[in-house]
Amino acid sequence: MHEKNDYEAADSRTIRCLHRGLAIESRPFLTLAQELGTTEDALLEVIRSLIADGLIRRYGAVVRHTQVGYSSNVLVAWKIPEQRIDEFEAVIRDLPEVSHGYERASYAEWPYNVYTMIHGHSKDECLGVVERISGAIKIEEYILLFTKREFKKRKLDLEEL
Amino acid sequence: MRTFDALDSQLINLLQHEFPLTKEPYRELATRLDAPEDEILARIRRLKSDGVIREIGPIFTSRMIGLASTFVALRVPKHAVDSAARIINSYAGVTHNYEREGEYNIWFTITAASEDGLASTLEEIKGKIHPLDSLVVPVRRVLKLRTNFKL
Repeated sequence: MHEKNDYEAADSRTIRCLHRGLAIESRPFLTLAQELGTTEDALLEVIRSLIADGLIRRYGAVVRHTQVGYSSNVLVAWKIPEQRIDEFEAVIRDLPEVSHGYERASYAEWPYNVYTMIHGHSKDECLGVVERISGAIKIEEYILLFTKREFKKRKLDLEEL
Repeated sequence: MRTFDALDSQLINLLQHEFPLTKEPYRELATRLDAPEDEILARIRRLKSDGVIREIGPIFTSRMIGLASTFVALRVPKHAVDSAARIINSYAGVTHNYEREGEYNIWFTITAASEDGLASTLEEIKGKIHPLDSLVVPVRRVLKLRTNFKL
């Protein structure tokens, strides 16, 4: 399926080691570098090149959004004509309340092909954002997939796959 | 809603957006924030133990990881939701699993080492749960992905 597996391009041990996260101590990269049998400088260079190649999107803290005031969210599935997806992308691009937008497979019985995750300080604020997007793109075919219960949310464990 | 003092807010923003890739990243942050490194380390540890910061590290794109993943929706009778959720949760490749409003009431994301592995795991899960209906909606294109929140 993958033409070129980038995972193999970088050392998989390095990837797994980086994936575990950084310690909160004075020389955090030293611990990782020693484990990998390399130097801090070399490891930092690997990270910089992975960022430059777009394989690491960002290096830094991952924050739980519910802890910083974004207590409400809604997943919205939209039915967007293929030729208007670029237009939709432009609408959500600069909206800070939209964290994720994906075009996904759709079916005759489920024609929704674009999914957005919208965050707000309240349910009403989320709904306001949905209406703004709907108004801007002039598309009213969407489904609100509000969360009833969270059963699981965790980082992928590469060691267990 | 939790509130943060000015130093915490600045620190959280810098940790997300401008984490220094240097040998002593926390010392550099301390210098920028005009605070002692020990205080910065203590604050980050507290933000982490309080659950505000999940962790510090790389956010890989999926092509980096070289794995196969998809989003799946199941329609399950109300009385069977809990047991279905437990079955789904038991798979290491499942990272998100939610009960949602609507016709399809369970939505989860699953990742496997290969496309074949993904397909067979999904068959296995469906075989255990026997959902009334299911949808598999893999990503065609990423339109937006922002994993940071400005305070």
